[in-house]
Amino acid sequence: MIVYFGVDELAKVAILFYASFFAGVIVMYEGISQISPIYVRVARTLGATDGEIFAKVIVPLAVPHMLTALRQSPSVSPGRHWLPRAHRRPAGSGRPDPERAVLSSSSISFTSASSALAFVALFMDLALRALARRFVSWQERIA
Amino acid sequence: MTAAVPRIAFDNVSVRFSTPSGGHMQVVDNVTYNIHHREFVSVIGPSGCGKTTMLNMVAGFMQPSAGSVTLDGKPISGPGPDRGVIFQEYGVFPWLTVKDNIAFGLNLRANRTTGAERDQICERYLRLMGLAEFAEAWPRMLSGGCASD
Repeated sequence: MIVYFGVDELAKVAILFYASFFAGVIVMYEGISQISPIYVRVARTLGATDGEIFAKVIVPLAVPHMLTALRQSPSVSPGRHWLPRAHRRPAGSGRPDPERAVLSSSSISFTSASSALAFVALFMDLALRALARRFVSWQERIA
Repeated sequence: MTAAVPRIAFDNVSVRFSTPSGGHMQVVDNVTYNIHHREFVSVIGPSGCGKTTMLNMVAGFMQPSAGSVTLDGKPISGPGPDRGVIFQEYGVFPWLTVKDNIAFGLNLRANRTTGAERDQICERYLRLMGLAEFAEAWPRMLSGGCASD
């Protein structure tokens, strides 16, 4: 990653993408692979083409897994990106770090950074839960 | 006088499945049987004797290992709207309302209808099944009997 993207913002974004994308893909892959073939059979019996089966059967059944992947990805990425910065390397080691200066000057501590992250994560989770209520209300849930 | 062409014909049909141990299991063995127009046929037998396998071949979900299954003289190559199937498991789509489940087939390219016609057909079948008041309900809200209707 460092060889290809260097040590600046692009590398951070690439690492975040790498960390969150594949975690999401695994969740979605596992979810989609467990879709009951009965729905595909029913659709085929009614005359659905491959494209219609994908659009009208696979995609709706994949939505709950997409939302799960979305809920999981933000929890992976901001934490990996920002938390280590709140207590990063000591001053004087390596090249000057402008973000460290910002963090120090504004007295952002590890605790406050963690709290901010927790609130952001909570807000995102609530937003995704609201989306889930809207789009997967058809699902039977225990709680 | 020529004999009537059967609608569905099993001609020396055999089906073998591979077993996890590497062997083979003969599920249908050399079946020849014709079903003619307006005939009502029940396939009866003990569990595992190949009833569902035979129906799956007519539905087009699977191909025989040997022999052929034809519909109106043409080999069945896959599922299609010309054959209705009632599945053993619940085949209702859980993400669609009861009405949208009925309309699902009517929205497909193979048998697309106009909106007004679709509504008319849906209402007719909802009334016929006694599910008119559940038109906008999710399938999970229905009883087992209603869901299989």
